[in-house]
Amino acid sequence: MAIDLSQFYQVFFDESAEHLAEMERIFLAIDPANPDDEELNAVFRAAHSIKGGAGTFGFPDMAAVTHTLETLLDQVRHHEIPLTREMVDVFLQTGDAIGMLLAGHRDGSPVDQQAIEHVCQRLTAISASTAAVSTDNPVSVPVSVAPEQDRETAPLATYRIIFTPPTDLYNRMVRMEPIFDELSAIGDFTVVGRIAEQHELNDYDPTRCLIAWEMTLTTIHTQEEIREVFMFVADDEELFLEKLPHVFKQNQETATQQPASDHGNGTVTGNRLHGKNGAAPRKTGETTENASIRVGVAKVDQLINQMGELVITQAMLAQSAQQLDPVQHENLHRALSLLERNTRDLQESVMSIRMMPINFIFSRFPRLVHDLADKLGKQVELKLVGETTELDKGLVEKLADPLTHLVRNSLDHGIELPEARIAAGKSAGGVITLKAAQQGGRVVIEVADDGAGLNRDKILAKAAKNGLTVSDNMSDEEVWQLIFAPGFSTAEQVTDVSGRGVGMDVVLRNVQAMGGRVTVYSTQGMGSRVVISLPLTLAILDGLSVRVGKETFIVPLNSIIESLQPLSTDLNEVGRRQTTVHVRGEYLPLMRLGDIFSISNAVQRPEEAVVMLVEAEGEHVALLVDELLGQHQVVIKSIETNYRKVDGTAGATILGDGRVALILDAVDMVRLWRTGTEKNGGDQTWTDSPL
Amino acid sequence: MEAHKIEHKHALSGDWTIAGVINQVDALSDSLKGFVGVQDKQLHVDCAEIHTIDMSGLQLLHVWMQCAKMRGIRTRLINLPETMQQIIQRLGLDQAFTDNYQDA
Repeated sequence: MAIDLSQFYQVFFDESAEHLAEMERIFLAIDPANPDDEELNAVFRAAHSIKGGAGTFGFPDMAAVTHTLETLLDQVRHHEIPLTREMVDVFLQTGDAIGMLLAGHRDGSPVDQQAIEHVCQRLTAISASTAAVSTDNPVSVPVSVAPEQDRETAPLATYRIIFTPPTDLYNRMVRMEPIFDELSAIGDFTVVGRIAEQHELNDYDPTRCLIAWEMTLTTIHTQEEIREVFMFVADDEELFLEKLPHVFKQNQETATQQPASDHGNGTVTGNRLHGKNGAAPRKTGETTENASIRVGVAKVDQLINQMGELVITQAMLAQSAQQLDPVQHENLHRALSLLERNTRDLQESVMSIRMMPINFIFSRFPRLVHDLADKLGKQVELKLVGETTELDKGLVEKLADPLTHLVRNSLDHGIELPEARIAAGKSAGGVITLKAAQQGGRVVIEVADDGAGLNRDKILAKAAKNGLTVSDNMSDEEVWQLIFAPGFSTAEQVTDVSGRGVGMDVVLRNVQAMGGRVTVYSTQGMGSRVVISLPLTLAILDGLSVRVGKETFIVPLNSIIESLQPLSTDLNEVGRRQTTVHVRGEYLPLMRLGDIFSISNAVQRPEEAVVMLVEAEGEHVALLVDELLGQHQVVIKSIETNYRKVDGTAGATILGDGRVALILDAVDMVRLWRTGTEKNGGDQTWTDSPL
Repeated sequence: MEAHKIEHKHALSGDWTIAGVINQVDALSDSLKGFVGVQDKQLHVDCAEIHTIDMSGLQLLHVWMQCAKMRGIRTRLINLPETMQQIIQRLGLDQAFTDNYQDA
């Protein structure tokens, strides 16, 4: 029976992806003329980790590519060859190639072998050319000897190495043979394994490691390099390494004393290839406060679902308790109040597990901008603001594509070529700003550029050509919205970057699918700003339940400004059934929820009902409902998944009494109300109910 | 899989990696009880049927041989598969087993 290593694959994939991201981040920020030693060491360690893991888990293709990269990085970090911009580009491409191989192993996605070979050839070419430069023209290279020459002239030293592994070495699936093979490859190596005495098999645990190894190595490599060989298996305290004044002769006495006296206590801890709990290895010196565990998304989602059910159950209990006398059942009411508070705290804690910093997406853009700017011959600086803003994981993943479209558009159509910018009195380099911030119950993400801005005339002309209804009287906001029409692009030339007109409508659709909205602001010649507003989470929200006829709806709390009972003097009839409400000098259109959803028995006279002032994308509207019922924390259930999309709603929830209530989406409601008004020629009686 | 006592020979077989050693321990432990009446005090341990082995398996084998030694039994490994010999060598465990090799 062979060990199933596949159970550890996911951890390896996750860690490798993190290492690749770290490498890319460093390469994009590095100054080739004056690279920081720490950064060079960091990218080397990342490559080394990927190589080690790939070798251990049986992905030789990944290990081979990473090995080539690692070799070059090793030379660079030891200042044996100088870093160049070309090298950085090739290293970035190598990272992509490794990422492709990783995705191939992880998801079975296709791997472009030609691209892999191309990258390997480029790495080899760099390696060969640097070696040739070193040999042919030593003066031209700061460190004038080639690596192998350097090695040859480096002094030999003999080290004594004692590895006393923790007792769980076997359970960690560590194999020592490759470690010893690697040491053999870098010098004159001998190893002696000692197995601790054991005289009974009755209490023998075959999974506990009782072996310790003593080694001698005569090599030109440094202690640091030797320690790196043990990077995945040994923590600092498990590895004793000393340089001997002369060639070490096996000391039988010492060796026999070494087999781990600590073996029996089982308390030895250290860096692991993978922790017992599957956690990523900790860096030496890193405190346990920073420790984390990896948990499958499915488990987190299950926890959130269960949390949602608990919230519903708590609401049911609270509703049932309302029927009971508060004096007679004082203790029960107190306990239920405590339960509500604890449920809310628990819900917040559980939801925070799913929250991820938006930097998860933002971090991919420096590379995108770097590559595209090069390709387009533009000078672009990318500014990231608010990268630590947290957002639900589900939203973060879905946000990647829309943001990519927007950034590519800014680069391709927004930012001008350096000559054009200078001619326009701007600096040669443009700036793209990606900004995220939490505003109330929403997260607002902006993609802004200081480029040419949208061209109103071109957009109107193109829209008219595409058969869209346009007029010169349209406001700028309305004109900018035209770019979200399918197939709309004013680009004079279709490039492989953008311009096919398949971007912005997809952006809008994706954002709307997340319960978000997109707004465009632009000033010709000054730049554009696209603002995406998203709910913080898709799972639970605070809402106010309202009654209309016999139906109950939930209005998200973050969209409610205030509620009031209007006086008849504040109401004005406009047209047949259009009404406005006068609130503090402002005349707001009155939307009758009963009419929109065709609910019979809804209160018709506004002065006998309640008007809720609701904010919808910066616009204030008045919503007429029969009665306010109470504030709730509701679990959002998708209607679309179980039924179909219902206009004007953001989903549904289960109330405390077990009934289903629709959750209103203020912006969609306004859109629906406007559509109905236009369709019915100003008469707000709906002929077709959205339901 | 298990260890079989064949007169003055013990035949070992099966999986001696971390996945399989747990299944070997009981049989080896039982075999120690059987050593009490062995006259010859020399036991040949036939490794020919060991399919796979790793350091946890070698450790178990060594511990078992130590236990046997404590009971006055001298063990000698015979018919070691090539791969097993290589693993012993690569892990630096030659000395731990050399005294027990047939040709030592």
